[in-house]
Amino acid sequence: MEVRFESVTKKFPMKKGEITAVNRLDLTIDSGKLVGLLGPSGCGKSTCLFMIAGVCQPTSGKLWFDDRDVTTLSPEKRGVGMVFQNYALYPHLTVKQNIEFPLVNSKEIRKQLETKLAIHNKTGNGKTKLKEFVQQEVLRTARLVEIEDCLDRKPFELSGGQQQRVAIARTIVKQPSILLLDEPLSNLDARLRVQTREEIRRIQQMTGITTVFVTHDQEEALNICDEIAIMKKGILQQFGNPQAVYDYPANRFTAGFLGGTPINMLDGEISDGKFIAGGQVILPDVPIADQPVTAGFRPENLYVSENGTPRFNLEVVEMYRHGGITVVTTKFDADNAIRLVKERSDNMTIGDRLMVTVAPGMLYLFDSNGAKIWQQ
Amino acid sequence: MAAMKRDRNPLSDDRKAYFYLLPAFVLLVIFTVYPVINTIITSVKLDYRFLTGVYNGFSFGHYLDILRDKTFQRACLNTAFIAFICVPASLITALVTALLLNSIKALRNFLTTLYYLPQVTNIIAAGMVFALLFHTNSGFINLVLGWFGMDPVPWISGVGIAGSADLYTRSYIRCLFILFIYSLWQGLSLKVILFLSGLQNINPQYRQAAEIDGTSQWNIFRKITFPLLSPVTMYVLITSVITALKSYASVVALFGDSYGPIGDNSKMMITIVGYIIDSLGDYLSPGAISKASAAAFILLLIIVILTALQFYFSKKWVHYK
Ligand SMILES: Nc1ncnc2c1ncn2[C@@H]1O[C@H](COP(=O)(O)OP(=O)(O)OP(=O)(O)O)[C@@H](O)[C@H]1O
Ligand SMILES: [Mg+2]
Repeated sequence: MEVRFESVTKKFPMKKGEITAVNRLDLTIDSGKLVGLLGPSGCGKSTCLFMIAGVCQPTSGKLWFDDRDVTTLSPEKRGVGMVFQNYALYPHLTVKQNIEFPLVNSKEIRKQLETKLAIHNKTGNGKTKLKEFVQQEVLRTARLVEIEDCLDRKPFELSGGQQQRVAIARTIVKQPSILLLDEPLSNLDARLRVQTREEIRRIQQMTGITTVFVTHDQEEALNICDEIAIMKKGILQQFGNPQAVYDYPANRFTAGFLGGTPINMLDGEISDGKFIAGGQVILPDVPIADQPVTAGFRPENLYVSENGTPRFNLEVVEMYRHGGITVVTTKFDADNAIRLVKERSDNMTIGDRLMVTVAPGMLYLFDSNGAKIWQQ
Repeated sequence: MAAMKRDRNPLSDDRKAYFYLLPAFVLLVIFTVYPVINTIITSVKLDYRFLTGVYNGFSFGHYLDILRDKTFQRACLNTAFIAFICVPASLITALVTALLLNSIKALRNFLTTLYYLPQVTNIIAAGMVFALLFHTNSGFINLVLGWFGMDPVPWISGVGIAGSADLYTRSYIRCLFILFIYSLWQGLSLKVILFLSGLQNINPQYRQAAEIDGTSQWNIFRKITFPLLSPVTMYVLITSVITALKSYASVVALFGDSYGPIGDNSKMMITIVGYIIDSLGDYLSPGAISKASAAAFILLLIIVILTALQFYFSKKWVHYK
């Protein structure tokens, strides 16, 4: 199912005035896609999910599921499944009771189950009762997320990762047409995190459910999402294919937000069609008007070359092995450091002078408002 | 590590704990255990004179007298009415009120304060105001009934009841009704506050998750809110039942220290505590204090047994984390 925000604004009343959690959001999430919602803490990610789920309603604007206006539709009629930021497993119920909760409590889902059961009994000549059928569904889903051994335990008797998977099971057991995941991996250790996110990807592709995945871990988003949306203070900054957003940031914020090693930012100015920083001409030929600008370029897009443009004359001041890569910190001038990421440190040593250039098309210029005005 | 330490030196750890418990334990012995034992001993002394300490041997006579006493049976009935009719009613009313208060934002604090007022009002004073409200000739209730063309109801009236069982029953029912309304109002405040704070302690995400899962409001209450609130409910239930079993001031405030309307000489609305106090009567007369002690011990037994039962059954419906 397609989800479309049409100029959606959500304001929360505060003691004094109000706070705009989501500001005029226009966003279309295509049917069957896994979309990542990214942004710093408090930027309105959870609020977006809550609006899709229906537990909170937009202050203005419209929300569409395909051609249906669901702006004010109550949550139980939406067919949405949601995994909460902190799971929200019912603490007094066992894992099994948690997973079957939506099946036994929702009238709509009951109806669907009955229809399915009728077909099942007709084709299989079986005489399964609804209760058994529910148990079968619960068990099938529990197997899918590999928690069938924990069915009789209470949530507090489970590890974070197991709770996580119970939460996912409870959500997918009712086969929602939209799946919402609010930072579902934030409580897991690094290995389980990677494992679970692949799992989510696998389940999502298998079922083809339209999925919105909130995270503030960009690596997670870049790895499994078909598309990502980056938000800041309630405003959508950029939406698109993860690699495209990474390579073609719309503004200074998205450029800085993405990237394992932070992007290099170098303040300078345009003067006579030249980009000048630290008293050196970095780019000789830039077709924009004179103004102060900031250049951005990613550490992994830098490489050593004697005669490229742009060209930086750098001094190595620090080298730091970081997993499979080496982060080389260099001095550009007294105020500015530039980082490079290299597969191996080759034969550099501290104090070396390097001539470095940026891969073609991978240097961005931002104006003083942070908008991207040029990319080369 | 911690476990190993314990193994090496289990006694000293325990001793420390006992040591810290000592002050509370001493107080418990002085003010609870000793008086209880003393009450039991006093209750079986015959013709006990409490100033001189003289008595004529031991006997369970007081217990038999009390159990056979019509007034005591009446006291038990009235106390049971408060504990098993008024308390559940006020519990349910308080829960519904708290749920409503919890679901509104505007005016919540104001209304909560309003509901809390009975708690800071003196029981006797409030009871007397109630008695005035229900006054036959000048009471507000009858005034309102009058607006609708109804005749004044003799709410607290004992006219002619000594000679007519029928009039007695009617008068009794009216008095129970007034006691019911009063208990409801008086008990509501603290319960509402407790339930409200309990409700606000429940993470709203459980409700939201259940809503997204398509659960009806009634099922959310039944399957999520109520179980999660059950420790609070259990606490409120146990403390209210104990308080109810000990009620005294409310009936005195409503019906005076003869426990009934003027014209009644059966102590119509007496409670068990009222019975204990009346038994004491002239405490210098021989045996009075023993009878009161016996009645007090019976009340203690009732409270202990009922509380134990509640704890036992609580396992079935209370969900502790
Ligand atoms: N129920 C609410 N009442 C008032 N303000 C709220 C409410 N929910 C969210 N907000 C505010 O709206 C803004 C966005 O909140 P939201 O929870 O959507 O952020 P988020 O992007 O999910 O952050 P995080 O990554 O920390 O989960 C925050 O400033 C928050 O304080
Ligand atoms: Mg959030």
